[in-house]
Amino acid sequence: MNNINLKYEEFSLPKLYEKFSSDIFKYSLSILKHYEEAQDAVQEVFVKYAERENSFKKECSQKTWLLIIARSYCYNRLKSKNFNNERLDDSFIQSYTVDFESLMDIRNALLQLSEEFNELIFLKDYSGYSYKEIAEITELSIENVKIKLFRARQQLKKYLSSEL
Amino acid sequence: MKHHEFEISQFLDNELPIVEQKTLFSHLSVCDECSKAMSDLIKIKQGVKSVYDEMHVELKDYSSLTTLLESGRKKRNIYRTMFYTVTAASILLGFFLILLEGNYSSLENKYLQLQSEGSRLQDKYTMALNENKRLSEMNKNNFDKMNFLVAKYKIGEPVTLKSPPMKSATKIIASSNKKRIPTGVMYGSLEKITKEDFLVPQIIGN
Repeated sequence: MNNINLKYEEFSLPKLYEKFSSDIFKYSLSILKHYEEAQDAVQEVFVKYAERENSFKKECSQKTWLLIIARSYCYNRLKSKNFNNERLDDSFIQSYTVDFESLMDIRNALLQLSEEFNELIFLKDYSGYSYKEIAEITELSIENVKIKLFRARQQLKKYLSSEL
Repeated sequence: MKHHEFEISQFLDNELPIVEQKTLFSHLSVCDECSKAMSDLIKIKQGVKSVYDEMHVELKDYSSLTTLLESGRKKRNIYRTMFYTVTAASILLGFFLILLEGNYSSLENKYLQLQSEGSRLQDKYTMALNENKRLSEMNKNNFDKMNFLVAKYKIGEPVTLKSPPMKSATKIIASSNKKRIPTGVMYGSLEKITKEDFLVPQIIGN
């Protein structure tokens, strides 16, 4: 009998990589703010996912699970001593195919935000997660997510005040 | 007038309850500052999305990941083998220690047994030593008495002993004369009586 209660479609590892590696990269970049570190993060996240696949309890989607692993990896990486702190590297600037001036301003404003605010902005404005899902990923309360997102936007607005 | 930027942020996130949405809209119709804040936030949200959309992502292909996974698997296998080996060794060591404990206790019992036997023999030896001391003392007394008698009575003269100093000493004198002497009277033909003639063999305890 088919299990009709499945909340989401389950993907194999190659399919997952194809589908979500880009998002994982962008999410890692929002925290690490370093292009090459974010590239490495993607590999590490998928290796960790493959290693822990059996312990995945299917309480959330595979993408959310990947994001949780990515978050844990990125924050551990930030704490590690050998983390490359040259965040404003050239590779990051070259990572935009379209060189809109306004986009560059927003990108620069994003780089000025803290890792946490940057992460929340990414999860909400790019990935479109609900407050509840963001709270699950970041281990914050929903109220905290609301407030922190509001503060992050206020800061962005301040950095972009001349452009708005 | 109270501004509603916090509610605007929630509204744009599609998380503001409908009741509060109505309040927000009625406020926006009269507040230019909040209307401007709303349009700014919309621009920022769109800008952020565009930044990530337009981002050039250059990632390694899946084959590089499989290589990583394979090496990770090998490493895990090594760790697993090490884990099982160490576990097996620990179990064996545990059994060995238990067996050793059994042997040790039997050896310990044997040792305690020998120790009690040793102390028993020690006691026996002490008792024998005491007995020997006592007999030596007695022998010395007898010898002194004999010395006294030799000095007192002249050799060759008949000696009348009212009571012999010691039975054993009398026997020795008698056997050296090769004669049977009536009790209480000694006829001596010895030219000289030495101490050795009166020595009673010492009894040494076993």
